[in-house]
Amino acid sequence: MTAPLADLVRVEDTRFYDDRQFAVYDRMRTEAPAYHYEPLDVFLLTRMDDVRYVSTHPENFSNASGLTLNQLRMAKASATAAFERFNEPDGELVITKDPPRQRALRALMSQSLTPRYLQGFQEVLDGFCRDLLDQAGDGAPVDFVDSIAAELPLYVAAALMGVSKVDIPLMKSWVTALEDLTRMTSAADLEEPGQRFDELKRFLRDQLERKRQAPGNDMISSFLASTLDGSPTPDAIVLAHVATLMSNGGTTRLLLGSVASFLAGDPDLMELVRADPDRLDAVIEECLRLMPPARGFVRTATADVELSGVRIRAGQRVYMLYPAANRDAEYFDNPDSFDPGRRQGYGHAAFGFGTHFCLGAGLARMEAKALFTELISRYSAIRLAGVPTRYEHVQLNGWATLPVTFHR
Amino acid sequence: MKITVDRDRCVGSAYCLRIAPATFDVGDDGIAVVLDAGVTGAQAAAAREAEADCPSMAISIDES
Repeated sequence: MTAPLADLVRVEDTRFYDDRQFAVYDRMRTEAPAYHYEPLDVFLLTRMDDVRYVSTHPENFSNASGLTLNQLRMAKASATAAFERFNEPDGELVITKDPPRQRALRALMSQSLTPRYLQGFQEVLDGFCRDLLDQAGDGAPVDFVDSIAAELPLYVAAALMGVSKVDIPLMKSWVTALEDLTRMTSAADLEEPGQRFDELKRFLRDQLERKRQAPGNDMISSFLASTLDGSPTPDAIVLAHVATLMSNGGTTRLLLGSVASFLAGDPDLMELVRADPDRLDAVIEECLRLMPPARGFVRTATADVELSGVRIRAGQRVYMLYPAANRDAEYFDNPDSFDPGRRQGYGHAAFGFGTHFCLGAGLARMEAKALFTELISRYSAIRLAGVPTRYEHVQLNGWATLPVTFHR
Repeated sequence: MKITVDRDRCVGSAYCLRIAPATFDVGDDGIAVVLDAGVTGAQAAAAREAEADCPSMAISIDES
């Protein structure tokens, strides 16, 4: 006898997200593709078609009323005030806005992350990768997450922001605080990360002041020189976007850890990329597809709509489950298998679709490519040196620790 | 073949540049531009692939 879906769908419980989750998604996709999750009155979307539709129709699905399940949980517990504390009153984070305002804010950031801009950054990035792998050394076990995956995106963020490397340990603690924002479910839990977040804001305001005095060739300086609606971009908005750039360190860390774990788990894959490093691109896409660093986002319906035959009323929420959409057999042949040869490489949902498509996608891919290009040029194998632990987070997906050894 | 990029939809993913570099570029404003709509053969096929893969459905190709 099969259990009713209601007994299996525990999307607010981190323990749900082990390997058994995928069989549940398979059932949801056929039995209830817009599954009504009663505890939060949110419809869980598991089909790629629905995820694509919602993402590309911002006029019907708003980002302005919550993005993560824990926010909905907090709203239920009337703890929204505590959550609000983390946003500047005029901060206007691009991800919490809808077009047309969202487009104007997004333009501020996308100008700093163009392919040409990133190309100019390649050499610096390659240097960081060499340094980190030098430090990791030979033979002795290292925690890949802590020593490499968490570090690289912060080196990158510091360089792009024009901030000293000395501040990297502080930045690391702020990334954790930012990630706690999407994990905590009560106002009391938010107190501690809240204090660290206040520190972050002080730090960034300080950086803004320095760059105003002595502008450089960095993102903070170009944000400060930018205009929005014909006037200089307000500091609160600059601050919010610099914090967004830094938080990119979190999801990139998860991606780097997942690529390392796939390479450690499959010597044939390691051999494949060593023989042809260009295959790394496709390997990275498969890691993103099978283990998307962000599991999903909430949208709020602004009108009555129908998805997969289910009526959703204005004001109700939907939650796009990326790991489910990424294994939709309508889109991917043998969706559970790791196949760097698949044509549908770019079709996965890991970076979202439409106007909110991840601003840092190009940067994240570039970091992954650079790090593993250097790694496979040095080593013929990565091996697990212990049992990796999952990051306990509902929205974020990846490894908390990944003990490995490198072999020449 | 007529190839257009909807500037209001483009999100600067640069997928088109990666897939069909003969046809597309991404400017300093982070928005894709059509370099050469007169491509044929394999390059035209790549352009169609870019249209299909664009994460914000900003590319349209009119075959006529």
